[in-house]
Amino acid sequence: MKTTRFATTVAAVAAAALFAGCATSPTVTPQLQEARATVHSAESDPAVLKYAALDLKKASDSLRRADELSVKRESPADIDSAAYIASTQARTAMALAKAATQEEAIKAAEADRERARADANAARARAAQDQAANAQMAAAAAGADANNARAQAAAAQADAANAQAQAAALQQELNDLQARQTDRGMLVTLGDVLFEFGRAEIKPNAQQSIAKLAHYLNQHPDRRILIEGFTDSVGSDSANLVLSQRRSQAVADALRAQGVDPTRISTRGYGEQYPVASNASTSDRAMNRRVEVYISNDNQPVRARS
Amino acid sequence: MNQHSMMNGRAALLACATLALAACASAPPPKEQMAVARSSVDQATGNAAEAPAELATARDKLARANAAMARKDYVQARQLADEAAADAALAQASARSNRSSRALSEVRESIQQLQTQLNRS
Repeated sequence: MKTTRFATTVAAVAAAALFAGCATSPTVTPQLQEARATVHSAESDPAVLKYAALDLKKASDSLRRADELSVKRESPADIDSAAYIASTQARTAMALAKAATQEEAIKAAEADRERARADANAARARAAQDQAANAQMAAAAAGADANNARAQAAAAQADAANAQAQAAALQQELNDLQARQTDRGMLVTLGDVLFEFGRAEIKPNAQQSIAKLAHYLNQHPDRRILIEGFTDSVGSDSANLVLSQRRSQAVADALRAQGVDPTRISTRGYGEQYPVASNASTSDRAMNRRVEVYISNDNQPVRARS
Repeated sequence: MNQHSMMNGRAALLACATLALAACASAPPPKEQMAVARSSVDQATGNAAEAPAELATARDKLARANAAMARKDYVQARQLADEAAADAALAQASARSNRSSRALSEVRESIQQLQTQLNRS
């Protein structure tokens, strides 16, 4: 009896053991399902394969262990623990892959930043250079202006000096000719020393006075000239009139020979009219024998005597 | 007859003893796993400040593993030690990922600033 009962017990234990070994449905817990999903998503992530292959393998191995426990129908606590470890290792692999990817991105971004920095520096340098160039140009322009102004001032000064010198020279010439201002213009009186008695040819030694007068007139091409001839009271009126006309014409011819435009020149003979002295003495008569040259103060003909 | 019965009884006892021993042998104190867990958690404590939740989980697991060791629940202790080591590794990885994420956005922000500056000038 005893033996039989014992045998039955052994058989039952063996059967139970056998049953357990042959069980076809494994124990699957929610934690295991979660672990499978997590490991699977880590396995399908290219970044994980690239940067965290070792950690992914740990996760895969742990999941395999959990699956084995599941097949053996071990306690859910054991399965859950193994599954938890697999899941955690898969998450670790993904975190490492994400970190490595970001670290790569940081390197690229740092290169970008260096480029941007270089660009910013270059832009600043360009701006500064432009500014400097502009300033230089402005300075050069100002310098050129200053030089110009100086040159102009110098030229003006030279012109002024020149004009002054010219004016002085001309004034000197007029002084030499003993010119004096009258209400009809500048008057130069050529005395009878120019002419032989009773003749109208200018003496050779009088040419110098004519030359000075011509020079002055050539320097003032706008001025007009009126040449008036006079005699003393000796001789007939008509002869004196003709003589005075010829003498004034002789002076006009001499000026024309020195380059003075004849259209500027008018001549008149007044004979013994308009004496400047009494005709009573030789010296007075000598003063009356004369040629007066009037030079206009502007470009209008010299007014005739009225 | 009686002797046979005695022999059977011995065999049964032996079988029981063997089973009991086997149960005991399957769960020796997990010293190695505990050491790994401790060093992993120590390491994470030093460099996983950026992943406080994961770090807290790892430390909690290690504390519970120590408690299991103290009550000689070696099966539990081993599981908790393995989990604590995995948690500590996750804490370190997450911290590194969080650090690089922040660094990346900082670099990108500074590029944005430079570009704004460039466009202004």
